[in-house]
Amino acid sequence: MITALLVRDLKLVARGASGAGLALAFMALFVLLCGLALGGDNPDLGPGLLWLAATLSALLGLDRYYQPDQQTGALAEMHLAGVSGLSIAVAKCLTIALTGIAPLIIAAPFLALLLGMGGEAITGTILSLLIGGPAIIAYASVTAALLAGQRGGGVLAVILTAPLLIPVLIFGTEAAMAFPINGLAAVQFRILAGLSFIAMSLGLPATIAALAANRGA
Amino acid sequence: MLSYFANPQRFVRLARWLTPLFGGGALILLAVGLWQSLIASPPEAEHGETVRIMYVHVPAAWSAMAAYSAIAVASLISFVWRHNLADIAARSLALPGAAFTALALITGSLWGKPDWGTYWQWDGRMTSVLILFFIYIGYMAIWQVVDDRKRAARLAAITAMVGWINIPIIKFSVEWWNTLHQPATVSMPDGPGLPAELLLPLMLMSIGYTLLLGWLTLRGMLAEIASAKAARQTKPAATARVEAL
Repeated sequence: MITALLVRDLKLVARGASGAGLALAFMALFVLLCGLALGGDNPDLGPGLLWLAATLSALLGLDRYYQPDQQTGALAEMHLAGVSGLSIAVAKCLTIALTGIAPLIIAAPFLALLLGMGGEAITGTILSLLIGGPAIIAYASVTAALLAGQRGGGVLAVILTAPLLIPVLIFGTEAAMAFPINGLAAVQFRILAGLSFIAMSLGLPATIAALAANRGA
Repeated sequence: MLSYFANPQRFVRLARWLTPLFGGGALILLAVGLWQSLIASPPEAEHGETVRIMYVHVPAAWSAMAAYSAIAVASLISFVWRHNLADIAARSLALPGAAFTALALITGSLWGKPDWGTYWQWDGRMTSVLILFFIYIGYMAIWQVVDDRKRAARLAAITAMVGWINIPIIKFSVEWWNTLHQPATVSMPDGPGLPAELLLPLMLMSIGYTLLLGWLTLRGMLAEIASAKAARQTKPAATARVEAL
């Protein structure tokens, strides 16, 4: 069932039903503006800037995940058809991962070159984004589900999600900075993984509950 | 207890009686506590006169965390048992809680300047309390934007329960990280690490702050119940007028 839902979501994205490319453009523009504003190469600031760019870009398009399905009644149909909330939430988290986060992570090394970062620093940043990514996805899913019935909740989505992502941002940046010295054994990577697990274990039930609340249950 | 107060009228009767008690108690305790902490108590050996900031800072931080925990518990009760007063309580706690958080942050940074030489440091305790402030804002924003009251209550409850993860982070931040902020001094296994003459004003202020929080919350709840009642009553009156015309 999860596969069917995921294929449906991916098809919708492939047919241009959502602004997946917009987040990517925002991230590139953000890094470009940072590079200009901070005066050229800033390898030391690189991991932090990339983390910031990825987080903000991921949070900007949250209204494209559950909101269309809520408005068209697709979520209600799925519920009537007996699809469990868990399947919907997991499928949507995978959609967020594949269409929301993955493009940003793939773009990150190229943007890192703009900031003049070295090879090890780039690897560290990508690894920290991969390990911290599930936390971003989980909280993004909760917020998207909470605001599914709301039009124009874009700024509110950022306000709701950003506080929860602050620890992830702190340890993500620190892990990326620690990678050239300690490699993957750096304690920050373990904390980051722990934060991701906490986020997923909180995020999935909260998403399911928020979808149920928006259904009026 | 839970189901006994599910009747708003019963709660209103109790709250009418409790509200002045809380308000008067807060007024007296804060007056005596302020006199004790600002004038009567001696300066501390290490901090000198700046220790007086503690009497407004520490109770504010405690109340801010207590208010958020109360919101989380009330949200759980509202979410699980659909208790109609629990979500009113949670909503009424949010604004005073956010105010106490802001007060703790402001007094903390004013205390930080003379003691640590800086208004702000990105350490675990300060950052996590700042996060708490933003979580309060997000929680109140959910109530603001969602029109349907029942849906707003459930969505806000979910937000509050997810955000509760921050409370243990605040509590243990001083143990997990090496920070400027000092670890817990009052609740220690071998008795409070404060002499009695400093502890007395702190306790007076803490109880005063707690009563103030209770007073503000009860006032908020009474206002909410009254406005809900008013909203229910105006509707039939309007239709009656149409019929009379």
